[in-house]
Amino acid sequence: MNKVKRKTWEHPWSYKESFVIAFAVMLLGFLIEFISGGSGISAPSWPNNLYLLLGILNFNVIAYVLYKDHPLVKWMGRVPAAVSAISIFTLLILMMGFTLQEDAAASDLVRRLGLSHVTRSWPYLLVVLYFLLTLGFVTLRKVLPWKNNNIGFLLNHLGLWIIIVGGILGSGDLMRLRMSLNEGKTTDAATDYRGQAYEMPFAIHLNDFMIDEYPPKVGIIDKNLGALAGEEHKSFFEAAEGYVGEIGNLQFEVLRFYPESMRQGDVFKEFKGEGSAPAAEIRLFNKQNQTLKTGWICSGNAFQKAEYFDFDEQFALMMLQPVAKEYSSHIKLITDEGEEEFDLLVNVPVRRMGYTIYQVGYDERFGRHSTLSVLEIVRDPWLPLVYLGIFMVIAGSLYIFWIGRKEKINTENE
Amino acid sequence: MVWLNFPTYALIIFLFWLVGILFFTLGFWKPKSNVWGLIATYAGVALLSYFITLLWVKLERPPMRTLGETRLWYSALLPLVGAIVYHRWKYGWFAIFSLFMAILFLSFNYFKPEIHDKALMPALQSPWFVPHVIVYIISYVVLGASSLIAVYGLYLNYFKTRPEMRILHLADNLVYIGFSFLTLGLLFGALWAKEAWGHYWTWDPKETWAFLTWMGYLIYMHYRYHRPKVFMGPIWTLSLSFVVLLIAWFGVNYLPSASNSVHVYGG
Repeated sequence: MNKVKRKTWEHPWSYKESFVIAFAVMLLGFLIEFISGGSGISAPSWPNNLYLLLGILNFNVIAYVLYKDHPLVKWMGRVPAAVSAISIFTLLILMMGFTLQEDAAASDLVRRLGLSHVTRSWPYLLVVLYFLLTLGFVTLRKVLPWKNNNIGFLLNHLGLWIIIVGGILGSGDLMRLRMSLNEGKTTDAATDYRGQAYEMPFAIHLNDFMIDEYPPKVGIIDKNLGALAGEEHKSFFEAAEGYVGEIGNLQFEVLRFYPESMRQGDVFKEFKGEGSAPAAEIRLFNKQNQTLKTGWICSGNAFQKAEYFDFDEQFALMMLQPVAKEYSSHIKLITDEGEEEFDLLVNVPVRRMGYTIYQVGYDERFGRHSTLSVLEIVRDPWLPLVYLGIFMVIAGSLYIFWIGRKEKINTENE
Repeated sequence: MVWLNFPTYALIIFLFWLVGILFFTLGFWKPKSNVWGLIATYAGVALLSYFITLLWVKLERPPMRTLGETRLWYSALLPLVGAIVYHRWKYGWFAIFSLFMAILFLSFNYFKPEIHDKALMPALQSPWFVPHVIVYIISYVVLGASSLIAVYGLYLNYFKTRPEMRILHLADNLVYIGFSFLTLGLLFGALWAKEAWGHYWTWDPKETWAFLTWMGYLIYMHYRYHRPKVFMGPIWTLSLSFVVLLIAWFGVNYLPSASNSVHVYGG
């Protein structure tokens, strides 16, 4: 390829100029953030986010249609600008990846530069804008005039543009609230992550909170260390009745297991009610000194204390806290129109009146005795737009997978 | 819950794959021995797949929860990709590399056995769990394969001083496949997160690093498209992207920013 060597800043711009500009954009962001005291910016809400969306879109389209051959517009729609935008975005997110976000203990400098709240900071805003503009110009360049074999390109690039625009501008209208429910009580109050209270257009009554647990695990603790015993003993078995197993030179047999029980004198008895905890009777045979011992263990909870099986000077057996397998709330939703009862499970949210209601938690200190259920209530009016983008990119990925790199490498794009 | 009898399985698999490496190496002089290399590779893959199936049945849940469990899948699939690439392009060196990497990953599990248990937190009990993880592992395997090419490229550049452009074409094919799976994994994760946690993207540290991985390969693809004759730029991008991928996979657990991740799993 014979060409005269181009000076820096002489059009057409390439990698060097693109990277200088990309860096300048990010530094400008840091500067604004620093001067404004590191307070960050909040995403615009309806209808300002819509105006911003239309503004970006119009700027892209009008600049492209009117000044398609302007060297700046051409530069923005080509690979070097794109690579610089991807790189600078990557660099900023990389800094975020190494810094704990929304950390109250962040140092003053980190906070003033916006690094403790990257996604609410000026550098993020400017870098994303730069990224969106290059993405917008390159999409327009490929789409006008339309060619059918650019469909994969369109799905991926326009899809990504839609996801980013929808996600970022939508975050101004996103409501994520927590609602704490107590069994037998009704509430219409919810709070956001700052603790600000909201009144919902509906009330929820918690009829019952239900939990199903895995059988708790049994392990060996080293009494001197006060912790689970070292490598060779670091093993667990499940407290299932009839289980026989070995750890090191110890043989175990689970004689009895009660998922819900209460201590009565020297033994545990099955008991279903307030304060019950899982307990098991274990027979232990030490192969080394040929001794046989039997004892009770109990994981304990807020109502009764844990029971250890002290089988020798150094070690003891303990039962770990049971882990939740599934939990759900049986609730009654009360609106102006009427009432409706249903079960709310993890991973199975329910959509009503433009809100999505999730089961997210309970009072873990009380485990199965928790009478508290925590719900999340989400309202995200921009979600359909983001989903449109996601499905476009999914289709675009399948296209890439199917077609691969069939198209000729673009050698003239120099 | 202890491993079935993993050490026995692992040793037999190691043996198969070492034999495979031996035959593929002989293949540089006697191409016919590559057939035996392939047979040994497939035998190891079959045995490891059998073990994973047993583990799945025994745990009564998909063995995809802990890092050790994901390494099992990785070790099973990487030699398979090596074999497929061999069938398609006849790269013996690539098959050797992939077997070597699979042995390395499996030996982590051999020397540092982890404790498996049946517990699966409610949020993971979702129809999205298996597709999300499988798609990601396939992507990591294929992109891992492309990183082997990057290592080979670095070796050529610094010890042989003769770049071979054709290896970048193989890398392109792998990156395009790996990237499409990476995108699917990322987006399936987003759709699942919406069902489980209320929002599709929360910049959780795992998400942040998965996004960085995605951006790394995006740079590679655009740069390759634009400057097809440059050798070292893409080779370095490919290498660094894989480092980011490894951080996303294992490293995140150790970063200060990860203290509140929903993705930090044991192992």
